[in-house]
Amino acid sequence: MSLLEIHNLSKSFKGLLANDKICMELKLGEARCIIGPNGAGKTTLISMISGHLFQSSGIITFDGKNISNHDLVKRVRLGIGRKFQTPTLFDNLTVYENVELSVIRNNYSNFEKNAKIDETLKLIRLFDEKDVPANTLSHGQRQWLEIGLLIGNNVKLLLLDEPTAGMTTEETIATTKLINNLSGEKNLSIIVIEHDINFVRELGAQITVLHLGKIFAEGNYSTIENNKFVREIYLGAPDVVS
Amino acid sequence: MQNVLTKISGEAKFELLIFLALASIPLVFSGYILFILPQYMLFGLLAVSLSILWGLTGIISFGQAGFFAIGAYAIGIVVKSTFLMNSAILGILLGIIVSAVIAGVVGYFLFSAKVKATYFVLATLALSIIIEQLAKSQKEITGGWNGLFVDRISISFGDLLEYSLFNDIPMYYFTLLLTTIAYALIKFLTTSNFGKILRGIRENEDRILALGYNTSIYKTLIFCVSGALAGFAGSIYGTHAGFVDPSLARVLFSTEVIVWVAIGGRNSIIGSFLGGILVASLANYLNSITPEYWQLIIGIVFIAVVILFKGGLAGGLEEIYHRLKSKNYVSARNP
Repeated sequence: MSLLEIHNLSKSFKGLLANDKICMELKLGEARCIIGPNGAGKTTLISMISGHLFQSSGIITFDGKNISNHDLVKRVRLGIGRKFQTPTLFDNLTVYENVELSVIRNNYSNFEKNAKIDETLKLIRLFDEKDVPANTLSHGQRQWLEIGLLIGNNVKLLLLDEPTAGMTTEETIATTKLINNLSGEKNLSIIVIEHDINFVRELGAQITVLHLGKIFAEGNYSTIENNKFVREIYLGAPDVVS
Repeated sequence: MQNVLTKISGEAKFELLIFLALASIPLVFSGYILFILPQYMLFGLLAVSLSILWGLTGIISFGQAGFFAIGAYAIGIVVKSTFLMNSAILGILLGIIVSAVIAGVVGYFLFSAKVKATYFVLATLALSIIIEQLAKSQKEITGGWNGLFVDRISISFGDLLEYSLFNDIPMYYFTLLLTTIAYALIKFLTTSNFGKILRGIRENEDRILALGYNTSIYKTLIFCVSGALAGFAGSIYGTHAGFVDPSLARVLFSTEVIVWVAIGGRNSIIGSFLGGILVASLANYLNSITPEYWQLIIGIVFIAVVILFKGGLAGGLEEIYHRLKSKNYVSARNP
């Protein structure tokens, strides 16, 4: 059964159609990459799923429930978590306190709480930095910490908006492993928006290409790479018709 | 982690020291100080009621004096008009409840409508003015401009024991006891999960919302607690001072509370508490030696502290402490 089903989802901003009848399904434990040139409507799509924006028309079903009219908080409590394009953290609190704030929503016992925090910190490779304020972390570490906030929050679906932006090559590789680990072992569903085509290839997930608010192509990396039109709009083929 | 632990226990030790010092003052001093210090302790609580909004949650209120006045009028009106055994306790409870309900209703509508911080400040300002106007206009109940005389209350335990607070020393210890209890409750609240979430709201409200916390409910609750605390302090103030008038609800008084908290340190509960006590004492002292210039001097102190230490005196002391401890300390707590 699909965890997330999107049916004919559209969003228009004062007449500009940012998303046009998007249909998509995501299974439990599945990772999906959304790529597309600037202005393709990627962030708009994620915002409608997370509840930061409301759709103009269309239906979103999550875990068998129609959540189209649920607000942000209600959706988070059902298990949809979102990482923003620029890391959004509690800058003046320590890494530990950051994760703690996401974990305490679950009403755990003290023992469970500490175990969950430690587990999350190890997963995002920030256990050694746990007493450091979040604003002293490197850019890549901040991205991980924000993913950690979603894990600590016990979400089922992670929406990651450019998780590798500003990362070094090593950090990008570690992020690929982390995402694969989350979808593979932890059985979480993940939607990733990315620009870094090497990352998309390494991740090996199914890819959805958005262009001008519409789904332009879908498939695995080699299908997408060999799609002539995708090359034209996105990868920048040399023989683009002017 | 070690650092954090020593810091917490250090602060707790300091708080204990302050309250022990307050408890031992009547053993050493006598006279005016025993009369006036309970009033300053209540001002300290009033400062704490702002600090849990401003320092902890990041919301400024210009209406704290309004809640304080509600408490003072509540006890004044109840003590005057009832012949019940425990009218004093009823008056204090009424002060707390009315303040909490007003804060809760106002907070609920403003916060669930996602009103911006600036407009919230204006709404609290208006609230304070409304309370002042009500106090002036409802002459039959409040005494209007002339104010209301309030008798010192007695606390009775059944028929046998009645404890009068007419003299300064019983009043002193009565106030100190209630202040300590209120302080401990607030301290517990700030270290609980609820307090942590409020800190999260201060740091990044969008993130805390995206973690699934309904921030408007949390903000309404803390505004309610803050109003209740200010009302509580006000009700004891009413019986201590023996007189209540509309000037208690004035915006000027609310502004004074902001000055106390800014000087004491808004991020620190004990800092705000001491800010209330010390700045109010200083103002009183300066007023007696230089009636023309005391406000100017307080103003200069205020500006100097705000410029030198963003976190007030408490934040400044913490920073100095950490500098001495390790030269690599990065100021993390006080943005």
